Amino acid sequence: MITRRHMLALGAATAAVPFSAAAQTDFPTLAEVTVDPDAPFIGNANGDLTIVEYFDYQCSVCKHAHFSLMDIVRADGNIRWMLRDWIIFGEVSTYAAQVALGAQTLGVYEQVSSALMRIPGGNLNKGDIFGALMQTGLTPADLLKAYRADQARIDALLARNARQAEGFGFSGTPSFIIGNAVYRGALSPDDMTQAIADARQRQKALSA
Amino acid sequence: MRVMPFFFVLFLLAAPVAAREAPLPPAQAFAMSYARKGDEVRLRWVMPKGYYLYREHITAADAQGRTLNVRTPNATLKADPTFGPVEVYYGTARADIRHKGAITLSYRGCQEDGLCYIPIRVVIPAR
Repeated sequence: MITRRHMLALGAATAAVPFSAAAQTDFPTLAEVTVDPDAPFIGNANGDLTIVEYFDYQCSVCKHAHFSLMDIVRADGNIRWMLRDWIIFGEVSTYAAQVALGAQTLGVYEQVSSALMRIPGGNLNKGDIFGALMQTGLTPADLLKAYRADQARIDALLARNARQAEGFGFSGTPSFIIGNAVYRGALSPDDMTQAIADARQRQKALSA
Repeated sequence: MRVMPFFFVLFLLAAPVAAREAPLPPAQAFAMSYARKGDEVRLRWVMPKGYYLYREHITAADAQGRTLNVRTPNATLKADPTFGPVEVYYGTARADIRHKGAITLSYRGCQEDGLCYIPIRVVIPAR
């Protein structure tokens, strides 16, 4: 049976050859992925562990995983959860990301991204998004205005997210970086809790 | 401080094995084959247990990008308590397209509770 961990080990082994020649420049570094003042995050800004998630608002698995991880992040209290939109399902996903990142500039990212994640179904349309935002007292027009005011920075962030996800060779969403480990696909709450504990242990070992 | 690249630190991983299987590469998760007989193109997918293909996301276009009619049988209604019903194929799927020119086929699916794949695009050459 191939497990997530085995895949990681395989990925490391196969990646090692080209990297030894420093030829592969697309594979992101830890700093590129985790240090990015433009990327929104949920949780503790000064947390001892960073989780980076690559996701799309039209990914049904991402929606399930989102609220499960939200509970873990809140209960833990010491995690910085960075959310990187990786738009793989087209125009409406782009629209949703623009709305959410516009919300980030207004300081209401978590409220808006959670509202988008709660929309039923894997397929969104602009009407769904409008409806979801009405419950928050915001409108897409307000948020798109905020997006347009900062469009160059936000578009550059979206392009960076896509480059990183493609650099990792992800096949879809959600995909995660937990500490310094790459996880392809959602984890059950138990596996996520274990992955977080493992990441902290590795950090401790590296800093010792 | 110099940040350690991922490829190096991955060697140091000692994480316990996660219970859920790692997602398969797309070509293995949704193995597609086709047969063309005249203008009729018959498509077939085979998926391992735990993978599903969305009926509504099997789409096709001609060389000019015009949408082609894709005939698909009824699928299983996936009852999702949060997100409502959606038609998906488990195990196998099939579709028929009538077109003599090249076809750009697009489809997408997910690993159950694991990963939703990037849409897969395949060009089927003209007869």
